[in-house]
Amino acid sequence: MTTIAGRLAEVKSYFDNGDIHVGYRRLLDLAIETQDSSVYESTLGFCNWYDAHGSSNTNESGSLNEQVNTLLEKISNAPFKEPATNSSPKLKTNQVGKTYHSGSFSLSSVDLSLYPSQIVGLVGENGNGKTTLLRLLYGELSPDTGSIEYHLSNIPKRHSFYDIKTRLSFIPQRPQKWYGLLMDNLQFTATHYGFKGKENYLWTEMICARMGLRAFRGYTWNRISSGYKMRFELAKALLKKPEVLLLDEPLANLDVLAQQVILEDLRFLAKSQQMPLGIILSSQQLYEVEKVSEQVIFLKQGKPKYQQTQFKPEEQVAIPLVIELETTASRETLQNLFKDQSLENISFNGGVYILYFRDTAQISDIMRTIGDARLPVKYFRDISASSRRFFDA
Amino acid sequence: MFNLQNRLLTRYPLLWNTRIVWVGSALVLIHLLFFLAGFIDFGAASFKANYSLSSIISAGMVTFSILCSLVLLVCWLVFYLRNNAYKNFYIIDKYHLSKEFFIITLVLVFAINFFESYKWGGWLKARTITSKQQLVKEANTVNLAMAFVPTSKSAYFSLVNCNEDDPGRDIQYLENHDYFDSTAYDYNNMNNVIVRRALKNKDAFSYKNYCNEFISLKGYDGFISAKEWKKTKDRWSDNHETDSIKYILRQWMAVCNKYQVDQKLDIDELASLVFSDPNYNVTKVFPSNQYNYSTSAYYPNYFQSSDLEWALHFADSCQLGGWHRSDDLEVFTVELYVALCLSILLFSYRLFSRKTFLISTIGSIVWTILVILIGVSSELEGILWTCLLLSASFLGIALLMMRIQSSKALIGALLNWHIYLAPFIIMFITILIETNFEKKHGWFNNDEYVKQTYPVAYWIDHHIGLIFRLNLLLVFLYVTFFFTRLSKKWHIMPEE
Repeated sequence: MTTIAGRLAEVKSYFDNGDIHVGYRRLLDLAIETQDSSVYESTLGFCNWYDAHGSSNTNESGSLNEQVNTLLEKISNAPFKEPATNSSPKLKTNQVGKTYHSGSFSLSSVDLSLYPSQIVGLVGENGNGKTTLLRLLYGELSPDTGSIEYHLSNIPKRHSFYDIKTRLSFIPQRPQKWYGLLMDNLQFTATHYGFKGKENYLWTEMICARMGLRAFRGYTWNRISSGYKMRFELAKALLKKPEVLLLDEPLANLDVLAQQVILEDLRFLAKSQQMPLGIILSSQQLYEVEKVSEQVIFLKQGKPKYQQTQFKPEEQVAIPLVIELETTASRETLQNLFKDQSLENISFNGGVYILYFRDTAQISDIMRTIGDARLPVKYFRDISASSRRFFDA
Repeated sequence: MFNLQNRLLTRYPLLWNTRIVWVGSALVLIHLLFFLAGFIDFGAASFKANYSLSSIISAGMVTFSILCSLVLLVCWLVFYLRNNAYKNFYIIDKYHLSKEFFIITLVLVFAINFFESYKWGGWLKARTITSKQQLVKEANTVNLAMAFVPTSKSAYFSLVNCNEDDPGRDIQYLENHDYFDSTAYDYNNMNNVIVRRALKNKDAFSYKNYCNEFISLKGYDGFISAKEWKKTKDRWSDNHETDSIKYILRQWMAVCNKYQVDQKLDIDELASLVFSDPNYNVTKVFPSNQYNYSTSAYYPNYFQSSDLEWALHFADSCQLGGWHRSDDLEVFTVELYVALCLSILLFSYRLFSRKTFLISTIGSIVWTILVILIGVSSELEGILWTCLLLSASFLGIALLMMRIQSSKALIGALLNWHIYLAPFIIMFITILIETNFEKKHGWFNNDEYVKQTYPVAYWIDHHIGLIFRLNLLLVFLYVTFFFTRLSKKWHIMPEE
């Protein structure tokens, strides 16, 4: 089964199983991948039908499947272009460091390579250099040490940094207010990136639909919530077909569900075959970021610690087991309970315990011990491969 | 309009962003309305009330025009400033900023002078009321008829003649002067001696002496000179052609009525007065004002001659029209300067961050105050030199700071201060050259300062308008092709 065929089947199964919302988003992802105007038109027709009938209308569920199947067939017939195979990094930093003139903060040498389809998470407490690093990458700050290399395509031979910035997308934590209608702003962006006439309309509508902004096309800044403002910024960035997307705290001000949806969207957008995207995002939502990132850089007082979160089978190495545990049991109880499980250390921050075991310890043994002892557990998480380890308990 | 805007949005984003279609339409419409207002407002009675084309525009009209400009510009800016592809680092073509500056300038040039259209509306109406041929005909009628409408005796004095070669033309005659008062200090003055001798003639104030041009037209075909119509007038007098005199007077009265010139005269009386004296002397003079200031009484018969004079002069000035009139051209040049300065200010807001723009504008006010304070303690030259020095320094320091990647906000402010001064640099240099050459190379002759005119200063003096207008083009090109590049370099600079 080809990748496209696999994705078509995946979308179909979502709808068959009633996971309509996720199916809808994946369907739009697939349609966008075709880069075909007739597919876009059919998809937008489907979106109109979807908006009019909704997913909750059980009487129409049969019709929904028919609509989906028709569209999937059309997508399957679309001429997908061969995905680009370029695997060189789009952005690379070599020992990049920055000290502010005020001397109040200093970011130490950061080494980073961002490949197409890769997501790199920047985590760390407030004021530890996440935004500084992102601003360095976007050229808003100049590095005092090291260098930043950009290997972006479609840049003129004789180019200035302006040309590079046209291919980078940076969404700051507090995006600037925009004026006028949402759709006008998006179309304005698309026109500058070569989408003219009807193509402009179709492309903008598709991205608008993908970002769940269809209902807000005629809205102004004041009328949409923070979550949709972030979606608008993402839509604007995607319209540019950027190769590198820099996001500063995109999950701030979003509710838990919206955070999950945005992160999932980012994951799928990054993995796009036709428009692979390298994403660097900073966030306080450590676990959520780790779920979608291939690499996490933990910044503490400007110093980086690197954490690989997704390993290929051949890269698997034995690492010490670290457990985050919230329980009403005392430290002594835990020490006694896990004394036979190679427990090395316990730290407590007043809410949760962090239990450090030797690399010989197995998570299944720990869970069995907890179960046997009927330990009152409120929260349990394996953070062995998480940068959560780097935080103070 | 919506479809067009949508088409522009998806094809020509700069035109959509600048809202050129609707702002252009609004400009055309408002100019048309002002033009129509000027056309409708101007009537035959307006001729006598205006001394020049510019005087058509009243202070109220200028205020209203400025108010309209402000309303239009505010509305335009609300839409125009919504989007900025350059600041958002969108892909733009090489001449995007140049084109944007051109559009801004174009809009501002036409948005600040609606009163001009009002003026041209009045101008067109004036030409409709009195064409070139009509003006010539009316001028000829009035010049001939005025010989039979005495408003002062001096015009009929025997030494007055139309012969340009006659040395007697230099003789001055004052109507209220007593030339026979032997105690007067100028009694023996050669002029007065000649006048006194002429006054003793029996036809000292004869109608036949009159050859005054009430209105003089230059460059018009068919205009009859005083020499020519004097013959007609004299023939009518000699032949006692009362009907001919009455005929020309009726035509004259028609002209007066057309321009609503205030007069109360009787044609029969005017015609009969020509022959009331055997020597054709003027026996009755009609005041040129209805009101007698000395007696506070009203004259029963009078003729407001200045009204007719103004009306015909105005009709004459309207025939030139276009940009041939130097005062109109000067006013338009000033308007262009205002538009260019406003365009530069707006463009700097588009190119630089709000913070930089704020620093620049507040800084400009501070600089201006400082320069004025320097000017108080020195001459104009001091101010001009200071401004030139500042402009060069702003650019030099900005370029230096750019090289060493210093404070971005300050560099932006320096660049803005430099460009704010740009429209005046050549102006200042011109004034400095002119004043220096005149001052240094003059001398005193019998307590009178005589200026030596050197070729450079002479040329500048005679082409100052042209220099100032060329300067506009130079500044426009400077901003379009040089300053936009500098600002782009500034734009990609890191903050720190």
